[in-house]
Amino acid sequence: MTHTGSEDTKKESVLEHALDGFIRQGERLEGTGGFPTKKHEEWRFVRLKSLVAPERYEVADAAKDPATALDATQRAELDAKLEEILVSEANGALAVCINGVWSESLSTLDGLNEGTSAQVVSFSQDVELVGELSGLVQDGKDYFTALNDTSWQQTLKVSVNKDTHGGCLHVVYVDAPASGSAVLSVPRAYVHVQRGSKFALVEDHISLGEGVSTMIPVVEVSLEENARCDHTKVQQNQLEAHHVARHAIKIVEGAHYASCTFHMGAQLSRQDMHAEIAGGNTNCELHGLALIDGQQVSDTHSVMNHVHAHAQSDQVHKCVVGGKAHAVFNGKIFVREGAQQIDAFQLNRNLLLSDRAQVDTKPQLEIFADDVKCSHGATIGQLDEDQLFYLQARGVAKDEARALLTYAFAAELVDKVPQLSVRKRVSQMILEKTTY
Amino acid sequence: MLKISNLNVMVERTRILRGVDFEVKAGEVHAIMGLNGSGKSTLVKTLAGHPHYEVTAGNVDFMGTDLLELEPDERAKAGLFLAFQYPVELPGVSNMNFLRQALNSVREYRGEEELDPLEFDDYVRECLKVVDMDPAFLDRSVNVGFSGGEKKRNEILQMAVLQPKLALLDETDSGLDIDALRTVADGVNKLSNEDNAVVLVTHYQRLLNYITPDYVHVMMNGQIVKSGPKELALELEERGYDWIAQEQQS
Repeated sequence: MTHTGSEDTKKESVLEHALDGFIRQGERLEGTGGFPTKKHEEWRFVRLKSLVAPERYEVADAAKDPATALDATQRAELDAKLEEILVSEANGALAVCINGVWSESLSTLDGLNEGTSAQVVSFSQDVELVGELSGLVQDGKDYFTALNDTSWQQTLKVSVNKDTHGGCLHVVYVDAPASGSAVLSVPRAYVHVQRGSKFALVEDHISLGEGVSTMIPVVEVSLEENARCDHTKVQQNQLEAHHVARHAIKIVEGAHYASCTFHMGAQLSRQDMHAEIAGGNTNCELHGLALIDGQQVSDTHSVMNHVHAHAQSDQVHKCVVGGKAHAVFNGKIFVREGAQQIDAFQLNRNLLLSDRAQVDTKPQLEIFADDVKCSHGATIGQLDEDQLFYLQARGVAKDEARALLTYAFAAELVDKVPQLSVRKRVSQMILEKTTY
Repeated sequence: MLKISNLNVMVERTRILRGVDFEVKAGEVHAIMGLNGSGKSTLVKTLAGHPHYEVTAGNVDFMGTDLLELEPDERAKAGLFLAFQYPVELPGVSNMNFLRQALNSVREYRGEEELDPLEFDDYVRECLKVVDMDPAFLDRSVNVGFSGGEKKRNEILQMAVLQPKLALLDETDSGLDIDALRTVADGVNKLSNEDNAVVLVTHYQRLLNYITPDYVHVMMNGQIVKSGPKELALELEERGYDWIAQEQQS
């Protein structure tokens, strides 16, 4: 990995100032409607009290390799976790971001295939590039995205040259607050896949030790004609983490973007996905699974913005909610004027495992064209008694039967992941989470 | 093997079974016949432990244990098997994993070693032959997208895998064409031996052309009101059930 350009100290003060603003003064970031409260429609189910609770958030120094700031215990834990979550399909192409800063010493990009490059670009390096990087997140930008947008210091920029196939990059984001402190970070990544290429991105989110963290990661993906990107995300942060993430996607003629996100960790996980489908013969898939219990909140908001005719979009989002946890799904599908021959499918299914678990679901379709096929559905239910009895009647104990059915409910999403190593790992995580 | 005395069962405050007495010995095949609503299905579902059926009186002894004290899975592990009238679909659960988990639960209870996937694969392929099923069904989700006949066949496949002591077949013949009926009946016959027993619940005599019962029982208003040899089934086919009701009244 190459670090280029000098770090901009002014940017850092922007971040600290903004933080100070959102935590204590409710400062407004331009065009965002300010720090979200329950009055903001898009945020009305989420309490941000614990996010703003820390007296002070630490921000990592972008000029230093963050690996050097880890103590021996954290380092050992990190090495073990990296081994555990290894994505063999990436052939060693690994980018590690700790507390929002990309680590040169831990990242190994040799495994990337020819025609694919990944580099860390600092804010001050290239004004033109900065313009390009911020292009996709402007639409529907909220406070947190704006905070990332005004405060990021480095971007991981991945470029896939035209007609390059089979590239896969594993990106690992690490929360590592020093004990007793809170850490805030605004990491940024940009993936640009040129004409006719195929690329896979696997995004992992983990935590080291215990402590409060708030991470606001933004990933932008831009696909040129006939390009394809498979984007897998697994978030298993520890329970004091706040995860407020955005994927901003733009695809044009013939391109295919398919993502599958798994949110299992963090006390608050908010995932926004905003896809602009700006070409014909395109396909955009935004799938996801939230598997939460205790007091966890998982809030998923997606926008499929069909601005061009002859396109397809597909979304299956499932939530498995136990304890007193709360899952929210808001899935918007826009079909803009003139965007005829759209085939859009959306399904949100929710499984409640306890009497105190809560789900809010809001499919939202706005269609301004007349020749389209849009179907959507949402279900909320508990485990089926007849299914439980059927399994028991075959000798499977009730708890095992519950686990088996819960797993079966979630497994559909696992099957959507292209990487075998990730499928195995996520399957195992789901099994562990669904065992009673 | 099974001894039911004075079994009374309620479903949602309605009395369905009103004192059933019934006994099955190893090596026997029994048929229970009767009109809709007479309590046949309630009897077998109660024996399997369905939570909706509340036992208000009576005893059930199954090979020396009080069956009613056992959880549904424990009943299955002890060797009781119910072939469902309406087999349940389990999306996302592969038939192979389902069968293996079921068998290993039962084997564990019997104190036998679990079968690993390879051993189980060999074992289940032999079982498939009993019901003439395509191995492709193993990779599909349990009963999802199966035709009525395939579902019933799948029930008998489960019976073949689990090797129960007592199999209760709840209208396994309903919805089957004649070829499927013969396959299912052949499967049951192959699995019958001196050490196990079968109870068939059916509306129609036609299944009994293929599986010959030792005894035929008639249920009416939640009781077994008449028992006889296999010829009783033919008589019911010919004369219907009215004469039994009249016999009861007089």
